[in-house]
Amino acid sequence: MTPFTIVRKNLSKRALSTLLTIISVALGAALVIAVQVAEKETERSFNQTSVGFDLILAAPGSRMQATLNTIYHLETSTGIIPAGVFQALLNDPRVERVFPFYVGDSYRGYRVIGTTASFLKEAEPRAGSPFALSEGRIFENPFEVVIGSETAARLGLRLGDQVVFTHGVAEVAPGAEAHEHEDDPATVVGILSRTNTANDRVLFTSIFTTHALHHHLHDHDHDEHHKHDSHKHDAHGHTHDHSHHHSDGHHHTHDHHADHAHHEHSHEHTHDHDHDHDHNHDHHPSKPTLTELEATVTELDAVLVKFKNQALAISVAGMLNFPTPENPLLLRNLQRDPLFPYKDDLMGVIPAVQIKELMSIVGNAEQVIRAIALLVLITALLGVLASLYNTMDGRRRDIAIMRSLGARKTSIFLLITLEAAVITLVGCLFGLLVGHTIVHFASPVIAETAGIIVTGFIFESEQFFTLGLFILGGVIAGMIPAIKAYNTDVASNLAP
Amino acid sequence: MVQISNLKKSYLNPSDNQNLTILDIPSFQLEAGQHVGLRGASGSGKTTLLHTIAGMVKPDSGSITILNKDITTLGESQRDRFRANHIGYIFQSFNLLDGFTALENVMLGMIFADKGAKKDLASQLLEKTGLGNRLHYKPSQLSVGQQQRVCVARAIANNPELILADEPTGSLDTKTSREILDLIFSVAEGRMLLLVSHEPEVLDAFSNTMDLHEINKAATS
Repeated sequence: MTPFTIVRKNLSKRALSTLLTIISVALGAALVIAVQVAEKETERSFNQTSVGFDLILAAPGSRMQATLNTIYHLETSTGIIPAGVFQALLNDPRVERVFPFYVGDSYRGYRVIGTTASFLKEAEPRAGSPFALSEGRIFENPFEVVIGSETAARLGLRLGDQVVFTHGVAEVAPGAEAHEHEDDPATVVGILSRTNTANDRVLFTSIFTTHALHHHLHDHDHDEHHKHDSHKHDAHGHTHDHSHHHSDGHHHTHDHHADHAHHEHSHEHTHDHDHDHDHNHDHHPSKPTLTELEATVTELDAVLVKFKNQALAISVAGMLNFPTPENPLLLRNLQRDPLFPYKDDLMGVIPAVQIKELMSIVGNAEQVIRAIALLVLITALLGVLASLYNTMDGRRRDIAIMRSLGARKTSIFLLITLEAAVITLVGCLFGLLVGHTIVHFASPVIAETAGIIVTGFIFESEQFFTLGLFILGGVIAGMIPAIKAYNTDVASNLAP
Repeated sequence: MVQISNLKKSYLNPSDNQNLTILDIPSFQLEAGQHVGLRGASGSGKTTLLHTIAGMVKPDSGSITILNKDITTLGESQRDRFRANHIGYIFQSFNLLDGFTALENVMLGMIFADKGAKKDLASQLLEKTGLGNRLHYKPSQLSVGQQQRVCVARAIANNPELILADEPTGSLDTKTSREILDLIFSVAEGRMLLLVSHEPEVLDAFSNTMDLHEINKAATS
């Protein structure tokens, strides 16, 4: 027999009260753990995706919106920018990496990101850690798609599966009709390894694919009903921008070729998509490469830039965001910048700044949640105190018997404290499991609503540290009834 | 041996706020291995005397020397430790813990002593008291006689030199009383035994008996 035997016996003697107290502790601990896991994962999710780009070039609007849209795959685009921006930066000696970014479609609620293959080869969703394929390969042809790990897992997609994109990124209301690109299914050619970032819950394809689908759709809309939706306005706006750049003489030859190639492709798809692909593969050595097709794209949501020198991001953002200086010398300097012609179409967003701001907003919300969790925790600990304290009157005789057998006052004190510790420990262990289970099952909801990938059942030392503090709290709460037990008089509570 | 000198203990009487003397014993002695039956009527201070000898109650003055140690000079935890190692106590109402089996109740008597709890020894003691087939019975599943046997086994669990018994047959019928008394004499062989009772049949079994009124001046006044 050990002190634990006595504790176990005492607790099982009041099984219902013990069970209820353990449940209350478990719920408190579960909430704290769930908040902590979600908090940590949120922080990690937002921080990890923050690396890799120094500058986001997007249509003027909310900088936060542009950041959420391009990095966290949330919100909508701030507008359309000319693809010439991307082309201009491709050969810019200041630039280390540049990626186009375009979102237009979705597949069963998961966004389809149009970019280039280089994004999946060179971008770093986590610092120093580029994308990795768990299966298949990166897209090399139009209508090929590479999917994030979460997308694959949730939708049960495998290599070779055909996916039909739905127009737009918003969820389709029940009963409403989604506009699907039924004639243009894409094929899953690659599945990415998990990055624990928002990139896990999207689909990546070539910008050419997203644009080909869109132009097909818009023609369709126009021909049928002359429907006007917000995206279509964007498309019209783009046409205007595009024409403008043509008239400016920028990339005239190139863009002209682009339009030509694009329309041709669009036309082929409308009639016989599958045939077109096979035909091109087998018999047309002159078939344009994906890079050539991508160069025909005329509009983008954003361009993501990594400069060789990070400070350049600030100066380019400044050039774009501040009014054009009147000083001719300064003006002449700025005019040398290949992005200067796009100054009115663009804003420069430093993601690091936005993420810092975002984290402070998230941090405030976290503090509120943490305070609520702390209150629940304190309530649970008070429950331990009340549960033990209320039993003390009924346990005077038992305590007196143990004292008569030679138990020291301190032994009685420690036994009661140990009871509180055991209740808290068991409650915490249940709470740990329940907390992770909550996170596990809430994960898809959080991913869909907040765009954050949270993962349950990842046990980290921080959680055990928290539970250690919780148990310490339980021990302290147990000390109050233990003091009462300590002061129990032997002679007056002992039956003769 | 046990040597009591000028032992005094009084309590504050809440009704008149006056000190009420319970014990006033100029001298009392129990020799090594001696068995003494102490006759005491209700209110004679017999339970207080045993509690004081056991170190559960601290006297106002006087000394109680047990095995050459004056326990009145010891602190509370030292008295607890002394009690655990050297004194066995048999109660009238058994004072067994309800949630514990017979075996666990006996082991509970050991856990607070220096030697710690020994399951085999506890089993042997219960067998010796005739409960070898009731080791895992809880008090509520045992008869009162069996419960007192558990109490006796627990009292000798730490092989004490002194056994104090407070009306150990007070809750038992005559036949069971005789059996329990025989058991107490049996286990107390070679130890000091101080048993207080008001029952003549019990006291008749002792060769040495004393009247508490004779040794406790507070009881006679």
